[in-house]
Amino acid sequence: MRMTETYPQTGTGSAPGSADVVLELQALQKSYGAAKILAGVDFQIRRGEFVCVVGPSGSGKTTLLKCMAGLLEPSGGQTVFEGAPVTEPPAKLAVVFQDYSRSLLPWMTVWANVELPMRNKFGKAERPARIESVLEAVGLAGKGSLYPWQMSGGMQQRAAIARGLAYQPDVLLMDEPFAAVDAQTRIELEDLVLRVRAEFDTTVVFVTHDIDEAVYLGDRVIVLSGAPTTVSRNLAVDLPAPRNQVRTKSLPEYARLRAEVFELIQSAKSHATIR
Amino acid sequence: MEMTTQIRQLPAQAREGTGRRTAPRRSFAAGRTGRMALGAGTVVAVMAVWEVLARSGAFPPGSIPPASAVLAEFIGQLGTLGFWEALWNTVSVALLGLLLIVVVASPLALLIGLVRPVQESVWFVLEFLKPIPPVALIPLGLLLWGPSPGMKLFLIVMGAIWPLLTQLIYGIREINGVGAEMARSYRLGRWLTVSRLVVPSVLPFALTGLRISASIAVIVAVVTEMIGGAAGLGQNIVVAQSAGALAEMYALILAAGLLGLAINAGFRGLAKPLLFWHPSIRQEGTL
Repeated sequence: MRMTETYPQTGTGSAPGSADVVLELQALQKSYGAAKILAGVDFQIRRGEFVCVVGPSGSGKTTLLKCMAGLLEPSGGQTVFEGAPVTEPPAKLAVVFQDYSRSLLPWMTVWANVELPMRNKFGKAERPARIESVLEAVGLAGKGSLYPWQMSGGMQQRAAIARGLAYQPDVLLMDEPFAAVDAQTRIELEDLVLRVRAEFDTTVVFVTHDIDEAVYLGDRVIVLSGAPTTVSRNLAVDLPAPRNQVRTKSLPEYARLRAEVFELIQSAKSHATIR
Repeated sequence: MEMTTQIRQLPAQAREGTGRRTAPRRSFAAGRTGRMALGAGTVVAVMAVWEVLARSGAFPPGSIPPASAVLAEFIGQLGTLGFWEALWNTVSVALLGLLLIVVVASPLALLIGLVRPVQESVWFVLEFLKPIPPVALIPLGLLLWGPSPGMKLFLIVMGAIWPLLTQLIYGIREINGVGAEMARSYRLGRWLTVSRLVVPSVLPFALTGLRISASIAVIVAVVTEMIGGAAGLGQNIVVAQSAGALAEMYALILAAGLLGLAINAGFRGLAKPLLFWHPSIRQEGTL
């Protein structure tokens, strides 16, 4: 809430319709030598959206995310972030990596880990209050003095999410963030992400291979084909907010969407193997 | 038979008897004092065997004096100025050599570890230089500097640089990809990336390399003194040998061994506070 006013309302003056597009992939291609991974991926992310990108394993999800994050140079096409082509990691974009045990630095406390990316962005005086607020938001209030290796996997990923939020990005990219935690923790973290996304008013692009997770979390689900990858469908998820692990997942619409995504992934898989 | 069952039972008891959080700590302390006692016992036993063998005449006559005589001579040496001068000559050059090694190896490792073409072009030269025993370079050293600290320094660097250099190159290559991507995506910049990611990542490798290089530096220093004739413990050993002062010779050899041990212990002591976060040192406890 107190974060909301610091976000600039961009888009004023641009053409209507595209005004609230914050991230756009235009015919994005990536090849490694002869192997074509991304064969022209197009989609748009609007401000405030929660978009899940789901695809079969080996569909280049991580490659796609790295191209979006400016960590990898595409072979063709481009990513446009807030109106400018991405050539290096944008300052208003943060990544939460799948491998929290290596993305958090073990020689630093949780507090110092969260503070590290803020050092180039925020003055010394602003940092403590902000760190405290993000730690509280992810349920790690008072845990700042711990080292990552003193915490469980779930808590480490919470710390990594806190670090992303503290950076105050317009877009938070999450690369299969819950793939390495147990089922119970995963459910908690899913709801946590939905909560902090509302609280911090952040746009989220959530890459996952988990169909249930994608449908449960997303306002939209982008289904990828198998490699060479294109967008096989762009689905609006019309499920009521706030989502609830029991109620949402027992809705007929949830089951229908889940089945649709499942079919698409299955056909993508068989397609990929036949080729 | 009795002993094996005892050994097998011990850890099980430790696990059952204490709480989960205190268990690793207590067994660690017990293991440590136990190990120390065992080590000390072995030293005493070896000395006792040595004493008996020397006195019973099992060694060839006039080759090895009894342990008690060597020990007495060693304590006597501690009271002479000449011993401390020799020790200082050896240690100071070894440490200076180590400093030089750090200064040379660090930029070299950065270059080799980060720049692929450099790595590919120098590996053959490095692998060729590594196995050359420093002793083989003594003639060259003597030719260039004569029997002087300069020669010792040269040979120490040539002989002892490899462990540190190799470890640093490994360390730089091991900087994990996720950490580097994190640094890039959060735009940490050069200074924060180097000081918060690169240096701490490389530190465990650097300390291991430094410890091994230090041991080798002492060895090379002593050997160089023995053969090349520069002042130091090695030279004193040779002088004692040619004077037939066997007890003194062994006392000095003992001193050289203890020096190596002390340097090793010093670096181990350094590792503990610096690498508190490293899996090999930290005490894990999930909350």
